[in-house]
Amino acid sequence: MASRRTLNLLFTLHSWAGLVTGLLLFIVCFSGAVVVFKNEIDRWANPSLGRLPTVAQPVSLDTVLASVQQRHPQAEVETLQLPDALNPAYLVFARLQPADAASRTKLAVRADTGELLGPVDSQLGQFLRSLHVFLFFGPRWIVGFLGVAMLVLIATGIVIHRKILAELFTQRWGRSLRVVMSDLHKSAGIWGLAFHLLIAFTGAWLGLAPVFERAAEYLTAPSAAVPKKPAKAALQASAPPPATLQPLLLSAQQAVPGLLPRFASLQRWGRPGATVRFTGAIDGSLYSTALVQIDVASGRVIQVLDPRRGGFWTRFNGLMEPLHFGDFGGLGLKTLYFLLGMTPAFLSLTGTLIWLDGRRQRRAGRADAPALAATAP
Amino acid sequence: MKPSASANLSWGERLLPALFAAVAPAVVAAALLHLAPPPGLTPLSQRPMWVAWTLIGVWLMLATALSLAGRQDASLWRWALGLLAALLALVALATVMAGLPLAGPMVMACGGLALCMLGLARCIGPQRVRAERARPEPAPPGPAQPLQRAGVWRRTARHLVRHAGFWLCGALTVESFRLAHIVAVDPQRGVGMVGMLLGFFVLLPAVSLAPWFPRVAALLSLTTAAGLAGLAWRSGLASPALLALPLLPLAAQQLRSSWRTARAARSGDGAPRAHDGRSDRHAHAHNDTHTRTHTHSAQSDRSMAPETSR
Repeated sequence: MASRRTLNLLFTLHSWAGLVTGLLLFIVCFSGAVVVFKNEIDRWANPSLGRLPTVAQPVSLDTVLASVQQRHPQAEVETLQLPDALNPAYLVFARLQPADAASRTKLAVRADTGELLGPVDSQLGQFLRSLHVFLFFGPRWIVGFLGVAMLVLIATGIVIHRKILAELFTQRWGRSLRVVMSDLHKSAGIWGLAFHLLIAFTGAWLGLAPVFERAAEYLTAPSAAVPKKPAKAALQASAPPPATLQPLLLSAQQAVPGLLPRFASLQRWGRPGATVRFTGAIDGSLYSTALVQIDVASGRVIQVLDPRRGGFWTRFNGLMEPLHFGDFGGLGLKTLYFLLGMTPAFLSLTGTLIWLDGRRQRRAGRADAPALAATAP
Repeated sequence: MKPSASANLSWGERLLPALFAAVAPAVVAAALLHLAPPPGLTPLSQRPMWVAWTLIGVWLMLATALSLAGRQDASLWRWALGLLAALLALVALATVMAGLPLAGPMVMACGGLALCMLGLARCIGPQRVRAERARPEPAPPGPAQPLQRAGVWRRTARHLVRHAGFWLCGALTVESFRLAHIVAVDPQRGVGMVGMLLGFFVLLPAVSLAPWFPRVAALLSLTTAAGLAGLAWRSGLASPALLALPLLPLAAQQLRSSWRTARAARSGDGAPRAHDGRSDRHAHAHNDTHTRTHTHSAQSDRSMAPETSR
């Protein structure tokens, strides 16, 4: 049993960590619960796409690319999103003015005819996702650090509130705000404990993995003061011949059997050194981070990431995103994630209300003290 | 009607729960904005920033309005839940009127959630949470005297010195973030990444645990200083070295605190240890099970059994 000193320490840590991060955690957890339905929200907010038919054999990637380039010859196509069960159209992310990053537009192309429909109605799902992952403006590391803070809150909370079974079923209504909120805080925390641990850990991993990777790269690089400039690719005298995407997609599917490609990202398309990266899930597997990068000119596969064949950490990393977003089990699992995802937000709220009420009580006590002293015999 | 103690809350104390309460209505309002964006602005297909700023502005305005309208805890939350229910109903109505995709599931979901919000709003009341007993308003503070104003500066300086560790941790985090995200070219980016990790995983635990484990805190502070010095040497940048320097007196102060505590424990023979006393003061400030707050709660909630929250 933890000593009183330890409990005091943990309670102080729990209170301060919760107070400092409470509002941000509430925003991140609430938006995260909503973003579970990102694809459905996008479908709902784009009525012009809702009427399109779902086709079993969509047109080729090259047809889509040609359709975009015919309407926008100057545009630089960055990514193509392939149709799926919920989204019947190809979605193309292109910079309509290559030099202007703000001109990056999401365009829709019919999957049955390859006809370019034009800009989509909205990107509401991605908007909500950017609130959850980036808080609109920042890198994902901020939310990653919040995930670590959430783990600290869970760990300290477990030790503090260690009468697990009693607190699971304790809810005293009709009492003071502090008692009611405290009971709700404890029971919600215990009921959702496993989910909270999962979300906090996977969220911290997804947010901080780039930080750790870059830090490790920097520390293990041979010379850090002046970085070596990468050798420039040899330039050809004339422009390379037009490349085709569809054969490259087939190569990718051969490199990773069972690949369900979701995105095709084009780098330096139409220029020397062009590559294309296919990313997506693997049929019949939980992993959603399969990747194949192909050199366009030669058709050579440069990089393959198949979590099934990777080491422990590759497989571990491949599980983080599906476990965090819960998009592997259909609508039922998403609904469960939504409901459970609201509980960390509820904990932030009740914890803050408990602190505010305690602060009010202390101030009232200081105000009452002179009156009590005056009336003392 | 007697004023409840909630009326004694400062506006800031009403604003904080209002900020929580306004998040959901603001997000739903942003969804409605996506259905009917104002003409003349950058189209939504380019994911423009004006939408984000609009959501933030709406959130802050809603929070301000709720904090002004809901002078009691219950009324603030009833207003917020009612507003959320109305916005969700509006989303459902817009879905049907505009013939949007996934109309059935969307209407059921929004309608169901709106009913839940209304039910929650109805549940909030004295049958769930007992209102605080009325207390007289405390006398307003008089105008600050010159000596009191001078005391403000002294108190501020004392605060900065006492919490120097947290301020240093914040400075390290901000500078590392600037190098990693805003400068964002090597070697600054790598230095920034390492700096953030040092600040969050080494220095922050050090300053947090210093009242209880001053020796461990000193060791971690020195580790952070050594790490930053190494980064400065490796990268040739000045800022890690500048941040490492003040960590040395911080570690010295933590070690001094540890020696003082150990000496007091050896000579005191039962006198309370300094970091236990300080930790008790922290616990008194925040522990909702402590006797003082328990006594106050008993005055307003006489039937309350002793707290078993810990």
